[in-house]
Amino acid sequence: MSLSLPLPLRGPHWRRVLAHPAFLLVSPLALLALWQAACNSGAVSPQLLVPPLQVWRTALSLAASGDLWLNLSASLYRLAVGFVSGTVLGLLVGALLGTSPRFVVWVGPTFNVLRQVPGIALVPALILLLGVGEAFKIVLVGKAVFFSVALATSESIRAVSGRWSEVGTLYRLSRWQQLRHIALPASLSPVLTGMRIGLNRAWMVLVATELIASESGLGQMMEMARQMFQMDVVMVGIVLTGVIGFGLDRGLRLVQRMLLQRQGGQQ
Amino acid sequence: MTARVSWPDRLRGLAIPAALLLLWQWAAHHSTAYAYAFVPFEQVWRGAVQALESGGLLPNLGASLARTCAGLLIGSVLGLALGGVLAMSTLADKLAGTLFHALRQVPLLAWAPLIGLWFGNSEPARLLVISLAALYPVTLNTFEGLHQAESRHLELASLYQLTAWQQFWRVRLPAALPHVFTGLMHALTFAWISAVGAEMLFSAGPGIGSMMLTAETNQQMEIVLICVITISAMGTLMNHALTLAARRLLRWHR
Repeated sequence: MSLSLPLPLRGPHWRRVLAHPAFLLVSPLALLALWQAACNSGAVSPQLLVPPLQVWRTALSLAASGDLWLNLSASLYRLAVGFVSGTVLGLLVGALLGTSPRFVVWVGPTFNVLRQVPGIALVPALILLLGVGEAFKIVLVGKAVFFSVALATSESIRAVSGRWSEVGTLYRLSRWQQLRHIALPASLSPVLTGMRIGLNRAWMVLVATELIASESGLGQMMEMARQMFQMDVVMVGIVLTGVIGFGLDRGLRLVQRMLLQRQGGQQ
Repeated sequence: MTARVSWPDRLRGLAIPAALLLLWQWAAHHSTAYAYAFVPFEQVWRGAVQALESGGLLPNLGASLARTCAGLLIGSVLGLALGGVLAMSTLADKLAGTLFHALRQVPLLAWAPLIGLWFGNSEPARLLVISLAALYPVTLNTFEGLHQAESRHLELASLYQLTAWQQFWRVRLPAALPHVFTGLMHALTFAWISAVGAEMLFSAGPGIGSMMLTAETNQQMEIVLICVITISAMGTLMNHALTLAARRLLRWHR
């Protein structure tokens, strides 16, 4: 988790202490301890900072009352639907952009212009178009995933076919066979990276959207808590959005590694 | 896609946007259900002229740009310092690296409710969000860059018995500059987007995000569209400008 590579295990004693993996936990734990101590001592007013233990208790009571699950499932549902549809469409358009020069001529310019529009800037326009329902949030999630996946797919296919098309021609593979046996397997890893970036962006846009306009979801839970000055609920939301974002990214990384290993085993 | 495109191909590229715009125009005149959403071109045009003439657009855009620059400056300076310290001191990295990465996992705008509780619906709240947006990429890329210095250059430096300070200024920093520029570029894009987001979440005062949100409340789709176009165009423009600047400043590198 540290920014640098692990230190070699030699040199003076303190270096060995630093290299110990447990040392990485020092700063987060120290921050928590300091935070709790500052709240306990009364030096910091409870309006400014609630102690970590209270955040923990609030999280438990939110979980027990079922509020948390309701909001969490609302957010994750939007993310899942948007992610799947964005990925499918992105793969399709990306593959076409990567293989067909004619498609690039017709669709490329539109694609490149729309790609420049930041998702968050579309929130008001989409609310006016689709209303404050589920649809506009799913569209925003899908949009974030779609452009990342489509771009990664088209760029990797183009890079691969440049490098490998000669081999394909040598083996007299048809264009479809080249796509199926060369371009797709080789672009698996970059496409998964595109999906990861897309998911990351989608999660950020979704939380922001729920903060601005929603009846449910983690973002809405935080926004309500802000309006009622419940700092502990806000902090539960911050921790949870962070953990979910991190978990999703790690999950996709794991899938990526597993798929690549399987691919390596087959070859 | 950057290769030279022939004229007929350019026209073909315009076919889809033209079709979409015609469909939009048709919906504006024939559908009553979404009459407030699909506004006809003439109304968008009138709105654009009005926004430019009566001065709604430019002051708001100016406020957003100034805010982005201020946040970018604060975030970049702090990011350069933080990235530098983390890269040069193993102790600092081990102590603060984990914390930095842990805090970075939180989606940027999820901090907004907490920042709102601390600073209210105010300028410092918006600046904090933008600075944070700029801080992450600059810190990460500065760190990366400082670690990238080639070992043969560092060996040469130790051969010449340069002090740690001289080594930093003469070897590590020049090697890090391209990375720092990449970081700044990401920071600029990210700061601009989060400025728009922050203005929508803390919507008191001027700003193109607040303007857009007000227009949405008043159901003025033409103003919303003009804002979306302006935001996207500004983002693209700033990105191009910084790419050009980086290419020019880093000419020695290649």
